[in-house]
Amino acid sequence: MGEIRREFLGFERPLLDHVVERWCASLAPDADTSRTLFVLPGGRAARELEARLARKLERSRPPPTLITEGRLAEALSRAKLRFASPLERTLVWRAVLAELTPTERSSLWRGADGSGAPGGPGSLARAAARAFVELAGHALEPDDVAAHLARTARADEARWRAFARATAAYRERLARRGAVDPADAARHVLARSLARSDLHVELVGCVDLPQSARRLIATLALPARAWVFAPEELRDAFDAFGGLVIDAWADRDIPLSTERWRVARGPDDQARVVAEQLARLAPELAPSDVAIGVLDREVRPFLERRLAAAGVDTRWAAGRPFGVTALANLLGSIERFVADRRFEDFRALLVHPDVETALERDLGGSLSGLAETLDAYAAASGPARLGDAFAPGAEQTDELASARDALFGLLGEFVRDARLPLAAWADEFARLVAEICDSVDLGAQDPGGWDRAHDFTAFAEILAELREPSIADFVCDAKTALALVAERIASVELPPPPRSGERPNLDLVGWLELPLDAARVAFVVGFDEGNVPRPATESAWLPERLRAELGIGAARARVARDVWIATVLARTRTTWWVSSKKSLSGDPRTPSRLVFRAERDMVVERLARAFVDEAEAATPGAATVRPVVPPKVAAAPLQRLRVTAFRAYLASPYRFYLEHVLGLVTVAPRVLELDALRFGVLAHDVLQAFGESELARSRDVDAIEAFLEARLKRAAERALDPARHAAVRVQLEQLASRLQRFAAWQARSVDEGWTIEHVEWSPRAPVLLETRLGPLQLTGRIDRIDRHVTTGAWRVLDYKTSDGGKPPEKTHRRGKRWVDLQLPLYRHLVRELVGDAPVALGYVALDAGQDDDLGKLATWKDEDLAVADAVAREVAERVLAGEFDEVGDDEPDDPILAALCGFGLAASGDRADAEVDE
Amino acid sequence: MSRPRGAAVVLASAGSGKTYSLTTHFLLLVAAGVPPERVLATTFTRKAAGEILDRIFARLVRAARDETERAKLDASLGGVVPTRERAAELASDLARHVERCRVMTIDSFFVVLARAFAAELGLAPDWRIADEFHAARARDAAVADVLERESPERWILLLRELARAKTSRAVHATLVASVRDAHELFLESDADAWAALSPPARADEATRERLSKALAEFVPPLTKQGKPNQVWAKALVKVRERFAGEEWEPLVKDGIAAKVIAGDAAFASQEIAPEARALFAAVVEVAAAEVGAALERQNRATREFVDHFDARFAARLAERGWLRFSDLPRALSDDPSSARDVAAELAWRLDAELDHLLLDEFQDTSPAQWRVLRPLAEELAADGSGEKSFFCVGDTKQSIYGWRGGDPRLLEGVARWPTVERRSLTVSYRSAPVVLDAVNRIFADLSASPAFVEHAGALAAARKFQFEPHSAHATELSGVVRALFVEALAEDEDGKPKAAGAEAIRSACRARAVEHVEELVGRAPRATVAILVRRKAQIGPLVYALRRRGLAASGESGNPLTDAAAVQVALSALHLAEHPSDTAAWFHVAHSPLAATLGIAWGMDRAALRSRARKLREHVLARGFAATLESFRPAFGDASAWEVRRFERLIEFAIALEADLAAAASSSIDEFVARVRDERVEDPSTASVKVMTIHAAKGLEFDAVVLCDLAFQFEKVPPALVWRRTEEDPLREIEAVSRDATDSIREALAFSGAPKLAELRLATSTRAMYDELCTLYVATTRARRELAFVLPSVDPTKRKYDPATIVAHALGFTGRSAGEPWLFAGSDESWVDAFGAPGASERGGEDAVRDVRFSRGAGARAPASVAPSRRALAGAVPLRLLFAPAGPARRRGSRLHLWCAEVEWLETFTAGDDELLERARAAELGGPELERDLADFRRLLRTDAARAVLSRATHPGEVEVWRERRYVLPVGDDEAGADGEVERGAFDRVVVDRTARRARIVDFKSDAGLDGEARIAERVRHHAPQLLAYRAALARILELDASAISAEVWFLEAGVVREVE
Ligand code: SF4
Repeated sequence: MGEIRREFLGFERPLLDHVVERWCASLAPDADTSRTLFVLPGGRAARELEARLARKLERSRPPPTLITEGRLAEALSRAKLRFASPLERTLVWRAVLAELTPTERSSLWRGADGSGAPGGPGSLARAAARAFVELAGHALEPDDVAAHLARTARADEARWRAFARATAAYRERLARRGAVDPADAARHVLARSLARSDLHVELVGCVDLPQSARRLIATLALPARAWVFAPEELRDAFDAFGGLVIDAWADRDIPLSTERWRVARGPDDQARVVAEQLARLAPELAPSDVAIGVLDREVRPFLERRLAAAGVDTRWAAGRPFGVTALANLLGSIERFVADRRFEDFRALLVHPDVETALERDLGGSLSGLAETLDAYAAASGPARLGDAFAPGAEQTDELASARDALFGLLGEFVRDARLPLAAWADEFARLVAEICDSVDLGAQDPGGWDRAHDFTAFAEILAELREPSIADFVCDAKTALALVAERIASVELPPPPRSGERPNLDLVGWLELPLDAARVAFVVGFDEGNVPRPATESAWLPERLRAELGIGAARARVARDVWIATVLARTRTTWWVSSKKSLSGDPRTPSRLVFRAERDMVVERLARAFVDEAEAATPGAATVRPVVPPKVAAAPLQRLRVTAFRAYLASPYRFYLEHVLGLVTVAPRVLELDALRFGVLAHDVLQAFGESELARSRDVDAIEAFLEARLKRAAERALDPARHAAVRVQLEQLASRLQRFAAWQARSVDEGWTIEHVEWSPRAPVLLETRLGPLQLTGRIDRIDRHVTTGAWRVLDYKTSDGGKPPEKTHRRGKRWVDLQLPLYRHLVRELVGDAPVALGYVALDAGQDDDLGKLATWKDEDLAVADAVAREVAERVLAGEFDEVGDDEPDDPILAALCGFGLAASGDRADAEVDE
Repeated sequence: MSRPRGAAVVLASAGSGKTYSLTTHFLLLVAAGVPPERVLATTFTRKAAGEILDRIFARLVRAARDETERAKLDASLGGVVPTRERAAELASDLARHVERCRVMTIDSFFVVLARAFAAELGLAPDWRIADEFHAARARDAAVADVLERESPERWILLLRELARAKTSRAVHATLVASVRDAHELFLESDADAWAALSPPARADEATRERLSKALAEFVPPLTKQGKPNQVWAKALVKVRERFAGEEWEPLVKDGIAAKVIAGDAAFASQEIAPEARALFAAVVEVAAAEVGAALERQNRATREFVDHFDARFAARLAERGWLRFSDLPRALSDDPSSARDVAAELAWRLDAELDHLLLDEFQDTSPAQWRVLRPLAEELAADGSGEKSFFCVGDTKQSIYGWRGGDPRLLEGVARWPTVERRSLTVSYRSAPVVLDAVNRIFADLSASPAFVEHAGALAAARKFQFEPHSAHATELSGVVRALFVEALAEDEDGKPKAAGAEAIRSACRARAVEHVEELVGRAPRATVAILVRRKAQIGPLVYALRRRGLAASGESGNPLTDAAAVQVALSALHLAEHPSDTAAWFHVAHSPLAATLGIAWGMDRAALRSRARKLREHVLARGFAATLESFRPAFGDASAWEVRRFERLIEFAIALEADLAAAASSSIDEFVARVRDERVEDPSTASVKVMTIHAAKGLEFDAVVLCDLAFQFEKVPPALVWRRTEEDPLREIEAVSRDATDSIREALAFSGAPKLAELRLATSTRAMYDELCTLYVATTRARRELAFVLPSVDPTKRKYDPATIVAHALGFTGRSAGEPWLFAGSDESWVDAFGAPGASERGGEDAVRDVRFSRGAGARAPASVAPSRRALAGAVPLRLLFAPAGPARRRGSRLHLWCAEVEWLETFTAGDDELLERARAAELGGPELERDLADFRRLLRTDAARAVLSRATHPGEVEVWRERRYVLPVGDDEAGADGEVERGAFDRVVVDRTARRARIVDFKSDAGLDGEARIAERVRHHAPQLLAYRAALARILELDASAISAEVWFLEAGVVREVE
C-alpha cells in the first residue's frame, strides 16, 4: 500500500497559495508534473488552484491534473469509465425494482407491491438511487446492513435483503451496458484492479474524503500526500488521510469573535448588516479580498438587492437551476398539456411568447390577439379540454382551429399518442425546440445571451443522454418522455454568467467553499441552526441511529466538518458572522450552535445577545398613508343609455362610469363553468326561438318541452365546446329542467289567454328622457311582450335566470329606495306599441327553485312609478353632467374593478365587510 | 432536588404563567441531568415554539448574569441553581447542543414522524406539504373529476339533494363549498353516521288519505258566541292546502301545527281539544316523516358525493406527492406498526428515547392529533420508575381553534387520568386587580346571565365553561375597566329614528375606539395599546383611521398585499400581460405610475398594447416575478411609505415563491396573481398601537386593550352540517352527521319521536358557542391595566345573544347610552402615570447603504477560464445543429484523431491493429465501422500530408514532440499573482526545436466535405482564431517569439495541411 504523507500548513496563509508554493518548490528538475493529480473538495477550489499554478509553475512544465473528490476514481482508472447518465440510472433502477417480487417491493416501501408506487413512477427509484449512493460512498453493501440488522434483531432485515437483490441486479444491468454508476466507481476500479500506478496524488484540504475514495488511495503504488489546513499541533485531530478525526472536532470550541458576530432580525436585515460592514471595510480592500458565504438561500436575493443598491454586483457562484428557465417552463407547459389536454394548458402554450413567435412565423402573423381570442372562447364556450373540434357557432372557431393546427404541427409526435424509443424522442425534442427557438450564439458574453447559450448547451447534453445507446431503445409515450426530461432538468444547475464590467463584483459562495477561499475578509450569512450544521437528511431507510451503528453516522461527521470550517474561518481571516432571529416567513430562528462553542462566560454573553437583548436593528415604524383617488379620463358624454344600466349607476356612479361610459371589460383568469351572463344568454336564445315559433301559441306542454329541449341542445352544440367542463354539462341539465318548468307555465299562460306578441323587441323611434340638461335616449330590448286575447291587456316580461327568483319589487327597491329602474322604464319603451294603455310589468323567473308559478308581476302603484321616473331623470341628469365620483358600498367581484374603485386598500377608509372569520 | 416525575396537567388561566410553568418543567429536567433530546415539547405555532426556547435561555442567562434573577430561578426550580456559575453552565451546555432541544410545533413533529416512517406508512418517498393554494387547486380538480365520472342527470339529482331542492347555476362553486364543509367530517365518520337521523316512518297512502279526509271533515271549534272560530277556519284551510300540496315546511312552521308541536294548550285563544291535538299530531308526524326522509336523502347524497370526492382529492394530491398538515395525524395513526412498542420504535427512528413529553396549549389539540400522541403520553404517564414524565399545560377557556379541530374536552379527559397530578393556576401575573374583577364578573356565572336564556346552545356552552375566579399577583396595580357607547340609532329617510344598520354601528364603534386610543396615547405615550377585533376586515379601516390621526399604528394579523395601491397596480399589470383584452386592467395600469415604465397609455393602439403585454410576459418568463416586480419599483418612487413597504413585501413574496423551485417552475402569471390576492402578509412594526384579531392576540399582552367589535351576532350563518360524537367524547367516532334544517322542522321531528336532529344541532351550536365564549375570554384577558369596551347601548330587556349583551349584563351597564361613559368600580385612571414620559422616539426606517467603495479592482475571486476552442463559437448556431446526434462522422473523427495522436514519428510507429483497436475501445470509441476506420487510418498515414506532419525527416536535428499536451496560462500580463482568468487548452501536436528556437503546432481537424480550395480556405479562416491562440500560448510557454512558431491545420479527411497566418 502506498503511504500518505501529511503536510500541516498552519493557519497563517491561505491554503491554496501555500500548497502551490510548497509543491512547486519540492519539484525535482525532471519531475513529470503531468503525472500529478491534485484532489480538491470542490470545483471552485480546483479552479483557484489551477489559476495559481498557472502563475507559479514554470511554463515549461506540463500542468498537473486537478479534480474534485467525486472524480477521483475516474481519474485513477486506467480504463476510461463510462458513467451511466442520470437518465440511464433512473431507468435502470425503475426496471430493476419492477423485477422484484411484490413482497420484496412492499418490504421496500409499503404500497409499492402493485405496479405503481406511492408518489408515482420513479419515486421509489429515486429513493433507491439515493440509498445506493449513500452506501456506496461508505463502501457498504446492503447485505452488510441486513446482516447488522439481523445481528441486532431489528425488523428491517427483509427490506435490506430485497434492496441487496435490487442492487446486484442494478450493477449487473449497468455492467451489461458497459456502464458504471459514478457513485460506484471506486469500488469498480478496485474490484477490477484498474487503478493507475503512475500518478502522484495530492489531497488538498480534503477533510472528509469518503470511505470508498480512501480505499482506493490506499492501494496506489506511488505515495500520496495530504495537505492539511491546520497547524502541526493539531496533528492528532487528523487521520492518516488528512481527514478529520470526528471525535477530535465535533465538540471543539471555535475561536470566533463576539465583536464580529451579529444577530439580525431577518433575511433583509442580514443583508443590511453585510452592506453596512462592507461599506465600512471596503476602502481598505479590493473586491477580491472579500468572500460572502451564503448559508441560507433565503438571504441571497436580499443580499443581491442591498449590494446592488450600494453599487456592488454579485454573482451566485453555484449558478442557477435549469428548472426555472424559460426553456424549462416551455417544456413544462408542453408536459402539462400533453398529460390532460386541458384547455387552460393549451392556452398557456399558445401565449408562451416563443411559441407565439414561432406560430406567427408559420402562419404569417395572422395570430395577433390570440390571447384575447382564447379568453373570449373560454368564457363563452366553457371548454375543459382541447377536443377534436371547437364550438361550431363560436366566433373564434376558425382562428382557434388554425392556431391549434399550427401548434400541433409544432408539437409533432408529442400530440400523436406515439410510443417511441427515447432516441426518437430526442429527435422530437430537438426538432421542437429548434423550431421554436431557432438558433443560439454559443459564444455570447452578455448575461442574457450567456444564459441562453448555457440553457441550450445543457439541453443538448440531456438530449445526448436520451440517445445513449443503452437507453435509446427504451420505448415510451410522450408523457413519460416529457416527465423523464423534466426530472433531468430539475437536477441541473447552470453556471452563473461571467462578471459584468465596471462595477465591483462579489461572488456569493457556499459554506463548503469558504475555507479554501483566499479572501482576507469573509462574511458568513445565515449562520443559524439548521443552516449550519445542516440536519441529517431524514432518510426513511437509514435512520440516524442505524447509520451510527453502522459507523456511517452522518450528523456528527457533519458537525466535525463544520467546526473545522468555522475554525479555519475564525483563525485565518477577518470573518463576520451574521445570525438571525427570523426567517423570511417570520418563523423563529436560532443562531447556530457553533456560535456557542466557546468559553462559558462568552457563551452567556452571546446567549444574552440572541435571547435577552433586543435583536439589533430598527424595525420599521408605522408608515404614512395617502388616500387613493380613483382615476378618470374625459369621455364623450353619453347620448343614450340602456334601461338596464340605471341599476349600475344607482349602485355606484364610478363603476357605471368604468363599465358604461368607458366600456371597460374584465377577463376572469379561470373559467370552470358558465357565468351568470352566458347562462342567461343561452336561456334567452332558446326562449327567443320559442317566442318566434309556431308553438308560441300552443297549449301542448309536451310539445313545448320538446321544442325547448331540442333548441337548447342545438344552441349548446353551437355555442359550447364539445369537450366542455363537466360542470357546464350539469348546468345545461339544469337549464333544461328550468325550461321544463317554463313549458308548463307557458302552456298555462296561453290557457289564461295570453299570447306572445313580440320577442326581443326594441322601439323603432328613439325614446327620449327629458332632463334639465337636455334629452337622453333610452334604449333596450324587451324579452317578451304579451297581450291578452280577450281583454287586450299588455304585459311586458323579462326573463330572469338568476338563482334567487326574487320578485321585481325586491330587486327594484331596497326599502323605499329605487335601486333598479329596468321594468318601470320599459313602460316608456313600449309606448309606440301600446300607446297610453296600461302595461303590466314583470319577470318570468327561471330560477333555481321548484315553484311552478314563474310569472312574477310587479304590483307598483302609479305613485311609485312616478317616483321611479323621477329617479331615472335624476340619474340621467347626473350622467349627462358627468357626475361619477361616488363609488358606492358594493365591492365588485372582479378584483381589478374593485381596485379601481379603491376597495381593499388600507388607505380607503371606512369600509369593512361583515362576515366573521378567524 | 430530583427530576420531576410522573404526570401533571396544569390548567393555567390567562396570564398565570403557562409558558413559565412549561419552561420550569423543562429546566428542572435539564438541571437534573436529563439529556435534552429525551424531552419533546410541542406547541401549536412556530412563534410559540420559538418563544419557549427564548424563555428557557433567557431565564438561564439572566440568572447567570444577575444574582437576584438567579435567586428567582433557583426558587422556582427548588434549589438546583445555587450559583450563577451553575446557571451559566446549564445555559452553555444547552446552547452548545441547541439542536437537541426538541421544542417544536406539533405539526413539525408529525412531519418528522411522517418522514421517518414514510416507507412503513406508504407515503410518497418525496412527499411534501401542499400549501393551501395547491390544496385548493387540487380540490377544484377533484370536484371536476367527480362530475366527469357520472352522467349529468345523475348529478342533477344529487345536486338538488345537496342544495335543498334548489339547483343553483354555479355548479362548481356550490360543490366546492359544500365539499369544504363536509370533507373533514367525512374523514372522521363512517357511512352509518350519515344515516343516523332515524326520522319517523313515512305514512302510507291509506294513512294520508285518512288524514286528509279527517282534515276535510274537521270542524273548527266554536267561539263563545257559538260561531265557528274564524282564525281556526282560516288556519285550517291553509293546513289542508299544504297537506295536499305537500308543503311540509310551511305546514309545521306556524298555525295550529306549530302550537301542537310546542305543546301549547290553545290556538287563537281557543283550547285545542284532545281529538284536534291527536289529528294535528298525526299530520305533523306525516310532515316530519317526509321532511326527515328528504333530509336523509340529502345526507346520503352529500356523503356519496364527498366519498367520490375524497378518492379523487387523495389521488390528485398523491400525483404530486402532496400531503396536507391535517393528513399527517391520520396517516400516522394508519401505521400498521403502531401496535409495536411506540417508544422503542420512535427511539430507533428519531435517534432518541423520548422520556418526557411536554405539551403546550393542550386545549387546541385535535382528536386526530391526540390519537397519535396518546399512546406515548399514556406510556410516560403510567411509568412508575421516575425516569419519565408527562406534562401538559392548557386552558379550556382559551380554546379558540374549534374550527380547526381543537377540542378542549381532551384536556379535561387527560386531567382525569388516574396517574395525573392536576394543578390549576389562577393567579394572574399580567392584569391589574380591576381588570381581573371584571373578568371574574363576566365569566364567573355565565349561565345565569340573561343573555343566555333563549339560546340552548349558548346556555349549554356557558354551563360547560369552567371558570375559577382569578386573582392578581400584583394586588396594588392600578387600572381601569370602562365602557364607551356609540349611538345605536339612525335616522330613516323621513328623519325618524330607527335602529342603525349593522355596518353603521360597526363604523361608529371604530370611530369611538380610535378617538379613545388617541386620547389614551396622549396620556400614556409609553403604554402598549391594542385594538382587538373579531374580524380581519375591521383591521384595515382601523389602522387607516389611526394613521390619519397621526398615530403610529400597525395591523398585525395580516391583510392580503392588495391593501396597497402599488401592489394592486402591479397585479393589474401582470394580469394585463396575460390577458390583454382586460380593458379594466389596461385602464388601471395606464392611470398608474407604471404607465410610463411599461409604455402603456390609455387609448393606445391595440396592437401596440398587445406587444407590450407580450414583452412583459417574456420578461416574467425569462427573469421571474421578483425581478420583474423589481423593475416596476422605480415607478413607485414617490408613493407613500406604506405603499413602498407593501410593495417590498410583494417582492419578498415573489422571492420566497421562487425560492421554492417546485412552486416556481410551474407558476403561471395567473397563479401568481391569485396567490398574492389570497395570501395574508403581516406588516410587523414597532408601532405602539396594534390592531389585530383576537385570534392573533392569543399569547400576547398589552397595557391597554380596546374591544370594539362586540356587537355582532353569534352564529349568524349557522353551519350547513350538524354533528356530534358518541357520548360527546372527543376520541370516539362521530356518531351522527346531518344537514341541518329550520327550527320548526327540528322541532317537528323531535315532536314525532326523532329528536336526533335537534340534538345534533344543539351539540354543534354548543361547540360553536363555547368557542365564542373562549374568544371573549381571550380578548378580555389580554389587558394589563386598562380594558375598554366600545359598543352600542344595550337594551336591558333584550335577550340578544352577542358579546356586547353578555358583557353589559355581567358588568351592569345595560341601558347606558352615548352620553354617559361608564367606569367599573375600582377603576383608577392614574395607571397612566407610570407610562407618562414619552419614550424614545420611534425609530424610523433605516438608511440603506448607498455606496460601497473598494480601494481598487473589480474582480471577484474565482477565476473564470477561457478555452481557445470556445473562440470558434461566436455567432449564431442553428439549434438544429447543436441538438444533432453525435453521428458516425463525429465518432470517426475522434478515432482518427486519437490514433494520430498515438504517432510520435511515422518512422518509429509500430502499434499493431489490435493495440489501436483496444485504444479506441478503451476510449469509448468502439462500435461499428471501427475496423474500416482503422484501415482508413493506415491509408491516411501513407499520404503526403501525414508525412509532412509526422515524419521524422521533416524535423532533422534534436527536437521534442508533444502530443495531446494540456496547458493552463494566466490571461493577460498580470503575472504578479492577482487572481484572474486563465486560458486552458490542449495542443494536438507540437514539435519543439530548442536549438533552432523554433516550434511547430499541428492541429488535427476532421472537417468533412472540403472539396475545392475555396472551401478549404474558408475552414482555415474559421479555425484561425483558435490556432492563433495556441500559437500565442506556445510562445509564452517556450518564451519564443510568435513568428518562430508555425501553426498548421491538418485536415485529416481531405488530406491537406495548411498553415494559418
Ligand atoms: S430560449 Fe428563448 S426562445 Fe426559447 S424558450 Fe427560451 S426564452 Fe424562449
